[in-house]
Amino acid sequence: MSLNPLKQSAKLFSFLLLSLFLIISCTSSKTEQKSIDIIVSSEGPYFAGGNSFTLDYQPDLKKLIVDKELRSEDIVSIKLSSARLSIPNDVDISFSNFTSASLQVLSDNAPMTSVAILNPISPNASQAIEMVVSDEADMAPFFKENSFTYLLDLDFKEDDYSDALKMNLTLNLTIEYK
Amino acid sequence: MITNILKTALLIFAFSMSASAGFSQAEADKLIGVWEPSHGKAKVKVEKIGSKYYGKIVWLKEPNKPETNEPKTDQNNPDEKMRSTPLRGYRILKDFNYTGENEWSEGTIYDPENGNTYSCTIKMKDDNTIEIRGFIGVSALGRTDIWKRLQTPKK
Repeated sequence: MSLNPLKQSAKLFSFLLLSLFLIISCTSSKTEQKSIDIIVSSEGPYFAGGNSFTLDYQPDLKKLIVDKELRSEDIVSIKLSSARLSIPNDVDISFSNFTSASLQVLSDNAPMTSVAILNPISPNASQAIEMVVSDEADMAPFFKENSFTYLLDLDFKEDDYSDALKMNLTLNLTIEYK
Repeated sequence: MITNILKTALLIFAFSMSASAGFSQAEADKLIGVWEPSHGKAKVKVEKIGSKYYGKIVWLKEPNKPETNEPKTDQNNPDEKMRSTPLRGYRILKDFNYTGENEWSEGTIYDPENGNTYSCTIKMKDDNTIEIRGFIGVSALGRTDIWKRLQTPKK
């Protein structure tokens, strides 16, 4: 007893459609924006040229997206969509003291990655500057670790004998997850 | 009696472990300093950040672009948006771990002249000389350069 060709085709088509739906639903990912504020700091004195500001950071994947308790394996990529560098109100320095700024991330297990740069810094820059962010740098490997380090290099125009300085960074992240 | 022997053994073990770790750390930190590649066009300062070693360009023989007289930037970076990064201050040695016997490995070296990054190992021949070997894939397929530690004039 054989089914007629029309019914066979309809069954095959339904099967293919169901398979396609399953593949898409298993592989499709979502994106979400998340803004984080961090403070990087450094001890002086500072000499003309590059000086490093750091923050040891402990990411919490479970709190990265509200109502989504993300696990490491859920994250596809984390990219920087913008990076805003600002000088805290209680810090007596201005952007006219610097020629360039670059931001990297590093950890014990992932290679150092450059994520944002601004060169040159306009001498007329006010208390905040927008850095140029990398389209390619993926921060996901860092957020999957217990801790990683933000490293901001500021190029000083001349020596500065402050005991210590700190800078604010507002980072907007585009998180792609399953 | 047995407890005392065990305690003594544990103390000796703990002491030998801490002593060997201290020795290893001092050995590892010997890489820190300013080094000059054989071409003499740059000087590279190696520093420790976290648990790894990184080297950044701190001096360039020709710091400016001849055509504009502006400071040189990383114009060959494969990531176009990062090409404005100044070459002075650029970390060309990244992520080196001390693996013992005067060798640092698992790191990379970046060649700003072509924008390529190579796997790299560093071997210290003596306190003032290192062999830097950049390679693709296996270490046998690579090139070695000798770098000398910058000697500061004695006052």
